[in-house]
Amino acid sequence: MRARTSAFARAPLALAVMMLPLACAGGGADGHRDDDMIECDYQGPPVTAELLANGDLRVEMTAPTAGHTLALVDVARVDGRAVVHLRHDAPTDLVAQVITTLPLVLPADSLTDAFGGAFGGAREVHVRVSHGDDAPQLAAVVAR
Amino acid sequence: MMNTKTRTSLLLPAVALFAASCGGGGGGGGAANVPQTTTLQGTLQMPQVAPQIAPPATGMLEQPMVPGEVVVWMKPGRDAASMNMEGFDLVRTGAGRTAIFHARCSEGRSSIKHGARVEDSVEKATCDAAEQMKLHDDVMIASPNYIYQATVQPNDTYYQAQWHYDQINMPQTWDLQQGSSNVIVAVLDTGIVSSHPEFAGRLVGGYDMISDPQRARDGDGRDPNPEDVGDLQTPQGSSFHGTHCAGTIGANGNDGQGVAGVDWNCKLMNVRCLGQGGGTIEDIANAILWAAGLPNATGTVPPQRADIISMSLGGPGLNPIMQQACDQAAAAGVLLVAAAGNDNTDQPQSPAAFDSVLSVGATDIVRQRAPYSNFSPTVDLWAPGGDMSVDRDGDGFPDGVLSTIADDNGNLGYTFYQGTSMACPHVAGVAALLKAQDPSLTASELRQLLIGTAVTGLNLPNQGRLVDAFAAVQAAQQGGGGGQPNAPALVAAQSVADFGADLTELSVRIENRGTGDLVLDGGFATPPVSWLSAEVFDVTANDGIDGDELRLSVDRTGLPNGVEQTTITLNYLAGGQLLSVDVAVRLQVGQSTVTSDTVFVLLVDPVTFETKYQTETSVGQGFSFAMQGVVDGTYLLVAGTDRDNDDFLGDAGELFGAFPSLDQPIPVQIVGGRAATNLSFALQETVTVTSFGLGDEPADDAAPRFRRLD
Repeated sequence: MRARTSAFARAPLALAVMMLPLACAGGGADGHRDDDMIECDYQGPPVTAELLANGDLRVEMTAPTAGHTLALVDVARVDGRAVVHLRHDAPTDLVAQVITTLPLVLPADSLTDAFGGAFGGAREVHVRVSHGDDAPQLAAVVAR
Repeated sequence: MMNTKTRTSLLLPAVALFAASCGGGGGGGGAANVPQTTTLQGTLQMPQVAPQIAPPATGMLEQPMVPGEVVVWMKPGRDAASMNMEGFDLVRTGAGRTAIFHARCSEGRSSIKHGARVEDSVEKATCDAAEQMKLHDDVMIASPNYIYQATVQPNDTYYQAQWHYDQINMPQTWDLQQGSSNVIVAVLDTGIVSSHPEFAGRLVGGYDMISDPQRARDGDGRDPNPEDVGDLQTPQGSSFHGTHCAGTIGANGNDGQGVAGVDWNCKLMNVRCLGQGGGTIEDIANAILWAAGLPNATGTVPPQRADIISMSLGGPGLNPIMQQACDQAAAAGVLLVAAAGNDNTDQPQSPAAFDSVLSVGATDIVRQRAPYSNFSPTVDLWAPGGDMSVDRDGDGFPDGVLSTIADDNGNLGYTFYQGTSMACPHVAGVAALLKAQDPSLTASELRQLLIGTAVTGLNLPNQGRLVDAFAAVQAAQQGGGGGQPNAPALVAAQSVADFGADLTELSVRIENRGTGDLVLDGGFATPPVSWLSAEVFDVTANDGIDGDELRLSVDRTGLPNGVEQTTITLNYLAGGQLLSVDVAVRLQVGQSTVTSDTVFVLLVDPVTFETKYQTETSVGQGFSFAMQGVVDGTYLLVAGTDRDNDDFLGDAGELFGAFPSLDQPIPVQIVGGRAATNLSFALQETVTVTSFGLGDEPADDAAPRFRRLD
């Protein structure tokens, strides 16, 4: 048994991905966008999103405890953007008090095929998260 | 299941051989068929990683001494050999400024009555003699000749990554107490993977209290088999949370493998009550009652009830059914410990907030509130829960709590988790040590001891206290069931004063959290380092605890880049008893610091990766190296540390590098015996892994390994 690692370069990974995560400016009202700024109105466990080199979208929530769930609701194309709607449900029972990461990878194929090619020409991907049945809030924006 | 082992491959260019730069002269000549040899020279650049500083012992230390001997440090230009002082004989002196004197009167003042040392002991006489020596004009420092003893450092493989135990003074505690198999700690959680070697011989009969087979995922409802079959907490796998918490409480320690737990001998009672999605009030309440040996829904009770119940679980609000179960268990004599919650809120939650439960908040590696930890006024105590967003100690691992784990494929190993879930079992484990120290302690007394001896002054919410295992066990040793040891108890609020790269002033509180008076014994001993100034001020904190404040200032002027460190020892006298506390001081100059480890420099075959030549270098050599007698050929030049002493360089947490860079290593070609010089390249910390598997060597084992020669 070993704790095996290597420090050698991951050059292929560094060749990346020409997409820029756009910073969400906090405190906005409803997630609208003006010329310079996209405002996120999401409040809840931290959410990050990135487009991987193969076109997949990877979203990760850092939940404060066990028992949280994060699931895809749908993907739509709105004003040239792909809008990914995720649903977050907090636990209702007593749960382990351990910080838990909830990664969710949306394959590029499924996004383009199953959702009508929403990613096809989209310049931005908006990740919106709803808590339970509440209205979704803008949590992250990724440019393509 | 976290198993984020990051593996990469060595990508060597197929043909881009590097002709080493010519070092002038020497080439040419040489008979045919006789291998030419040459010299390689270069330097290594160290990463901007500060070496770890081992926190010194804190808390009350009754240090043994050589009876009657006083060690003195002479003032500059003064000669101990010619010093004449009435009542003292020079025993020996060396080349430096230190000397040993013997007080003629000391032995005559020693008296023993009925086997008990009385106040007028030889130790007291020796301390008095040291005081007298200090008055001499030629003496700068005089001190009894203390005998320092090493604290227990477990030999578990990954113990060095368990920073959280130094935070609560576990090494000193293990000198006193390592636990008892007569003490039972119930772990109310997802269950425990019983086959993990860290629990060999440690489990007593438990119960699976999950009534819903779907939630339980084991095909049935409540049954006597509490094995953790996984909770499928995330799409990536199960958490095996209970196994992690149980490991912190009681993984086998000092057994040469894996990790150490807080208590190395207690029995662990596995009571499964969290399944997929969590646990219901009813299941958890019944689990509490069962562990406490009280009537419950199963109609059964364990042969022996638990002494301590550890609950790394919770939910918002104060549920009355849960409260009833906790109150009943506490009334039955069980100490209940629970996680305060991870919502970064001051709102109380069940079950931690009940009066009958000891609520534990989480701290990070600098003993501040972890950013997620709840901070309700109902939090009774704080303990390490970790913060995995940072690696403040620069060991290459996130600052989480390292403990036992499993995965859904049956692999067993170790991983880092963070949360008040991780803080709770630290306290449960310390409580088990207290119970082992004094089996007569009641749950109420355990609680008072834990809180009464905890460290204050850390700027934790609501004047919170960090559990101090050493102070607690010492107090229990002295019969202090009331939460106050019946003797002075000396504690430093911080065991390390770390100035980092920018700070110039710091203060450290030294407190007497016992009874009786302490008197600072004529100042303090600190190595004569020019960059450090220290003063002690008498202060009383807002909470009324008497103490001193050690105020430190540093001057980086003229110091070379790197890390300076020293230790200040403050000695206090209480009657005939000498107490001392050490405060380590660390100072960084510039942004570049170095390792104190030996660095091995290897020339290896670029195809087979067999090591052909080796030399060593270190900070004392400026990390320069030279390798002589190298025959013509093509070699890969690598260097690194071997902190785990497994003969392989570049393991997790070790430094590693390759010429000319780790990103694009290029073989060095030695031709015609020409010297290769100026081979300079950088080392870096090896990438982090967040889990260690037992027997789970990945199949795609393509990365080469570099073995040093014996």
